[in-house]
Amino acid sequence: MARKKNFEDSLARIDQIIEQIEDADFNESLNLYEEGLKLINDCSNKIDSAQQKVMRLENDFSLKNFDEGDE
Amino acid sequence: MNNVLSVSQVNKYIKNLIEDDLILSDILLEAEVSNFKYHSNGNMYFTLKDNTAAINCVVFRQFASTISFDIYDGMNVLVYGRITLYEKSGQYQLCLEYIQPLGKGDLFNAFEKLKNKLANEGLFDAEHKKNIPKFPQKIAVITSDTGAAIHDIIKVSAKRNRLVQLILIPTLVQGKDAPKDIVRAIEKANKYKDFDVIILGRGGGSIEDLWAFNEEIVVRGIYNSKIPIVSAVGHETDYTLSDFVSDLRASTPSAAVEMIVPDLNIVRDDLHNTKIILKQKIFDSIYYYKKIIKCNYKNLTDKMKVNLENKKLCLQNKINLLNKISPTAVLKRGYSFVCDEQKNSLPFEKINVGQNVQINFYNGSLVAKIISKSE
Repeated sequence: MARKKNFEDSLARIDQIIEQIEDADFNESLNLYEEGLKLINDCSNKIDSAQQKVMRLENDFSLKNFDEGDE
Repeated sequence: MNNVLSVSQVNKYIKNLIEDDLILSDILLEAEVSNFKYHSNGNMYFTLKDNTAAINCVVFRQFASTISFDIYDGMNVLVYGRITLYEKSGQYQLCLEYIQPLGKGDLFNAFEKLKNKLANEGLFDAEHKKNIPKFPQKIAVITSDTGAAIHDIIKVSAKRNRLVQLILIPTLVQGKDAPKDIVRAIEKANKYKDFDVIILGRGGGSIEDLWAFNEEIVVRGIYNSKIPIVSAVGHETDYTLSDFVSDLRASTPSAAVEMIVPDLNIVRDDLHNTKIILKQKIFDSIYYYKKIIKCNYKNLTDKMKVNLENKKLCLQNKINLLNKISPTAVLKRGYSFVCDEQKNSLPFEKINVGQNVQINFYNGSLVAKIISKSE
């Protein structure tokens, strides 16, 4: 389940960092900045490189690619 | 030997046959309305039906404009009219000259009865509604694999969010086998487990086409699902019992995607803005600490300066005091003192006759020999 929440978690963490960075001491704020920037870049890359996946759940619970017009 | 006829000729012949028929031009009928449409040309079109048969009806503009009550699907009506043939398509229809409402039809009554029963059981209660995850990644789509719904869902989802994985669980969505098939698909999704949410639905159709979503086993199937279900059946105006029992009702399959799949284009813009904010914040922070350091430095040097000044002043005071009490000052006033050649000062008692002594003035010294001594 951890795998599934990655993207959502990253977005939540970014929000958290934005909130915390102002009150953090200097070293801590540098660390937060670095972490935030990395998460933002990772998420943006994920969005840009995402490919839509449409599958079909078969009776044996395997997944097959689903293309419209197959049927 | 028959003549070869054109389609128009055949339809014309049938039209005359039908419209000359005394019984067919004098029809009084009681039935349930279905598929009611009020066309922009002012005509009304709908179907009248009983349990086994249906007939197309038309109310032409002139008569339609005089009808003072709403006509809706599921309503029972008493109508009077005649059968005509629409030559263009060769279809016959009942052209109405009178219509009177008789209340709601069987289908509608069955719907209301089941709805009340299930409501009383608490199936529609808000406390049973599951939360739809904010950022679903794996979405099960339970619908026909050939219908408009899956097409719309794929299209809208692709436009909004390509991170989302859509997994179709094909099912019948109309006909007598549809309810069981829908329940089987819901159970299948739950067995597979790994879904964040289910979209259950189909595109628009007549009230009969959508009826599977009013069946009790389907409603219970939705209620029993551990995975949250979004009901997306038909068009905006269609309500089915699936809508009441599901965790979220969407007016159409496309709307379902719009409601539960976050638009990554917006997320991307947000991320871009967040990056700017983050950079601004770190710059602010650096600026702030720089200022503090500058301030501290100034404070430190200022304090050090004051400290040095104080020390200097203190020293000067001591020097002044020392000067006041120094022997030189006495010598300057014309006194002198006597010491031996090792510069030890000599008190009177220790000076002997014949001894060499040094007599010191403020600006020089003399060596002298003591000739005599008296007290």
